[in-house]
Amino acid sequence: MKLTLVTAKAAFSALLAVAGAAAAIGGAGYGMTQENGQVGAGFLPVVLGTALAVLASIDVVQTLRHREPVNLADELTGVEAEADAAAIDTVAEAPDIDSLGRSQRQRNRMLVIVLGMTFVALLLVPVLGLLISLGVLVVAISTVVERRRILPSLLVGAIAVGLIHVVFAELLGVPMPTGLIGLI
Amino acid sequence: MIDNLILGFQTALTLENVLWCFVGVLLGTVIGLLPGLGSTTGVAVLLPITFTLEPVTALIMLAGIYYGAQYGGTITSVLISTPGEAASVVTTLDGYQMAKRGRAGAALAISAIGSFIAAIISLALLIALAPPLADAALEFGPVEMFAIMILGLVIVVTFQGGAFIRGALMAVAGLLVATVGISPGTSESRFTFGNVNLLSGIPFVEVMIGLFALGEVFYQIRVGAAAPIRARFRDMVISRKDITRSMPAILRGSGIGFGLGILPGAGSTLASFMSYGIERKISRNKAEFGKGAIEGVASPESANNAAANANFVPTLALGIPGGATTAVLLGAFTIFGLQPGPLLFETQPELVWGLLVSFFIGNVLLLVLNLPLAPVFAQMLRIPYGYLYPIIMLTSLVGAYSVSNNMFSVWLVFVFGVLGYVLKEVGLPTAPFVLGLVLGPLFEKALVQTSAIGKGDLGVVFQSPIALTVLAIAVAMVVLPKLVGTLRSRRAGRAREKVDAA
Repeated sequence: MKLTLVTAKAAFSALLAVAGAAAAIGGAGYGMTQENGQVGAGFLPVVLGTALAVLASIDVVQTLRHREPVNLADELTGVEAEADAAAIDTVAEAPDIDSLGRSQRQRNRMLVIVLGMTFVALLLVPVLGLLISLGVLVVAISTVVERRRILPSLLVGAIAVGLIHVVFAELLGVPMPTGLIGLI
Repeated sequence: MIDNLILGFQTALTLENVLWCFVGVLLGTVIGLLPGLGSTTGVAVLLPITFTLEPVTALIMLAGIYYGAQYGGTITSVLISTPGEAASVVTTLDGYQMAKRGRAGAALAISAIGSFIAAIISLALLIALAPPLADAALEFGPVEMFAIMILGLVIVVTFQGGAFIRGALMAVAGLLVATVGISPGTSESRFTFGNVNLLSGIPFVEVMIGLFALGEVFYQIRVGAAAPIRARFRDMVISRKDITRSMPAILRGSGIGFGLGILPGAGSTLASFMSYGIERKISRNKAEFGKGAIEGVASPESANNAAANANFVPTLALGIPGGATTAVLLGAFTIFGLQPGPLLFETQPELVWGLLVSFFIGNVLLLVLNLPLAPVFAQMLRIPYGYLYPIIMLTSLVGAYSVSNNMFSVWLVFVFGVLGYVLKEVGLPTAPFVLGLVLGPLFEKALVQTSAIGKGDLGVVFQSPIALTVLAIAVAMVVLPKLVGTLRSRRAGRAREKVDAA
């Protein structure tokens, strides 16, 4: 598990390093300086892209070596480490199960389902409209992911969508996309 | 000064402004106590609702959310050991221990009292300090502002409570993302890939909603729910002994909070950690710290409130945000066509002083609300999170749409929501990223102007004594921790040698 987190940290920082390098290369195309010698459109992207690539690469190395550099706030207070230790203790003390009896594996699956559902709900906006699409998302998450009863979930979804409609569409006059069905 | 205060009271005490101030602090308290929502999220999500209000009314309400959330964040820290706000993290250490020993009410009460005293002290200092600083800042040109922005970024990176490199890379990433769109110097479009939505840059309100609202929701789903501890009305009675014992901690916390809060880039989170650390070292009851010491709640809670107010000093006087939430508020100013900075005190005295006086009104409202009603607010924790977070998602996504009436904003929120979750998982700090993103356009504008002043030579920065001093402080902040670390390890090494020799 620990190895996985370290790998994930290093992989994400490596991704940032690549993004930084790409930004620096792309930024160079805009020109570092103008004809009068002043900074050009590409100056900042090149400098920042290079800095990002360098810093992210250092972070990859440090992450893989497990080195934690000194931080001024920690140096001055010494509390951060304690808070971290307390958090670690809490994690160590707490079983894998949360207060609703769900395991880490179940919660990971829940997250993936919520992300998938949100993505699909946004794809459905041109058909159902924004409010109906997101209203269906609220009910779907409550019932399918959270295993709440269907009636209270429908009620919560309807009230939430109703309130949002009143505040945004009626009071603020935001023109909501109503989709192909054109309801709200 | 007196004239300005009278003007402020005349502006803030209109029925409409008091009402919206009340709505702001009430919503702020609720937002602060709900896990997964913080003041930054609250201000970002509710910003679109204020578009139809007068700028001063809108800013009074948004600022109310900000300091209301400081009060609300404590309730979850004490009752479920889950801070609603990053600034309340350290309160979990002693607040939750007090709650476990049946003293949740006393912890919540001293937090409300401490927060109120800190708010009033810091407000008086804010009113005294911001105008002279703004006057001094009128002398600052692009070169000095460029140096101050570098200092702001260095401070947020140094103080963000993690590894320096990781903070720095996030600040740089924020600045880099801010370069998307039209270049301020040459009006060329950069990194837009033919998408017209990107011409005006990556919109920061959507980024904030994504990072802080959706990102937090996704993270909470994976972390799972904790069971709340009940707080009863009769527990809210706090003894005179508790208040007497906490008073020095409250005063020290207020001072530390204000001192750190006025630094551009340093937020209330650092202030709460720092004041707790100092209190634990100098308190008469240091042995009780971590086991439910009331000073361990009073001190950080006072500090985070004082810092929240002090954050407005750099925001209003220099136009440089003190932290993530003031960064969003800075964006709100620009949305309302206002440019925060030294000139604001001259061009919009009614707005500035009305806003400052509203802090006082808001804090009185918060004390009245929180002292007797904290257990009522705590009941909100009983709403199943399974119903709550889909509603947070709904509000966030519709709120994002209403910023520019565009589905691009909604997709952007989703993308940055996923990114916010990933950042939390891999432990990369979001505050430097946010500050980089908000400061990016100002930073580049100052860079272009500095380059123009120096006719292409950026070395002109070193010719300004103010800029040079500011940059020297920034360098010292980077070098100092390493120096402290080296000295400590050498001293420890020598001590070990002595022990070995003995």
